Amino acid sequence: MKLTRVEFHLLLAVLGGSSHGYAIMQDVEALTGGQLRIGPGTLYTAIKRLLASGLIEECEADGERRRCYRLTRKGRSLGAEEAQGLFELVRAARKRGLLPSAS
Amino acid sequence: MTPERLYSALLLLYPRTFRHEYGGQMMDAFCQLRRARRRGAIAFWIFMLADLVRSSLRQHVDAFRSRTQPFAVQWALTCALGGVMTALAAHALTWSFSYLYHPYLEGLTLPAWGYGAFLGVGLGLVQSATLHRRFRVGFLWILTSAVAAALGLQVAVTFAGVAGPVGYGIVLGSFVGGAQWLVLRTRVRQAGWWVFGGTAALSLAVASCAAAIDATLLGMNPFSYEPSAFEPAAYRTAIVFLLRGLGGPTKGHDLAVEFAAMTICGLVIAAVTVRPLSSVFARTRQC
Repeated sequence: MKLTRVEFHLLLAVLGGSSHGYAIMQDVEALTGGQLRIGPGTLYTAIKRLLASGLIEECEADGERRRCYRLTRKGRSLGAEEAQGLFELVRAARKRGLLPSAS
Repeated sequence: MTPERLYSALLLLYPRTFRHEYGGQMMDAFCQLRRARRRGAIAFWIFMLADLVRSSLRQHVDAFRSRTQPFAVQWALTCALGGVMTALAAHALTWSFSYLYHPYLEGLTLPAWGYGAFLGVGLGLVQSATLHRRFRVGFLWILTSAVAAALGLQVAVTFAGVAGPVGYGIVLGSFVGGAQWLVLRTRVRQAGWWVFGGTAALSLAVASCAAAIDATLLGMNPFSYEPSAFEPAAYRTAIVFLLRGLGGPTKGHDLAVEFAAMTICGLVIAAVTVRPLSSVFARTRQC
């Protein structure tokens, strides 16, 4: 399964401890320095897909209507794979001088 | 109306299952976002509406792909889309022809079988999109439809002109329906209903298309509309209108009528073929 940009950020937000809708939206915005803002529709579209793929799962609710989500082992593994792919891309960009060297 | 009530009403844009599953949580998220908003009300609502339109469209597409709708709805939409796509492709061909125009090409006309092949490819392409999962009919289906429609239209133009649009439809429909039956019979027993459905559908589609376009264009613009522009006389039938893009209509209302007629044409095909196709599917499940 190929993760979209929103889905990857959502996995990162859930990994960072954000567990419910509003907190995830805030975390995604913070992670991207305000470049990626997602609304409730985009968020729950992504959550639905990630739940169906078994990358996240629901956990005990902390309120009447509020539901929370956590990463599954499969989600963590796919997230790591995606991050590794991005890391390789950045390394290639550095090698070609597109980005300044890390040191 | 309060913002919460407005957003709650806008949630109706989502498919029912999605709304039922996530509507409450989306409402909570909306309330928290509204309380914490740092920008003006207009910017906030533009953001919310863009998010809502984009994600609700995505959900409807997903719901359609997951095939939760009845087969009849899928088939009707497929056929209507097929009609519109054929018209669009015809316009693309017209545009390419005018773009690559050279005086040497003056007087060059596409033979009737060329129009037929074009129509057959469009028809076969959209039908195979729906039928492929059940019968594994892909390229063979498209090729069969194209060859049959090419032969059918050539025969119709040569011999069936006197019978008018219905004659064209019967000949064209018999060729296409018969050829598709040859493919279908290798995958399902008693597929003969398909021939009847295909013939009836194309006859009805051609007749309804002819009547609709004639009446509408004459009603809208009685002086500029000239059916005799399509020569030879045998072409002066609805079959020409099925590929009217090749005639190069440029006026807005001409194009609007053309696309509306192609949609109606697709829906007529769907209405007539859905029953025999459903019975073919039912027999497939029994086999």
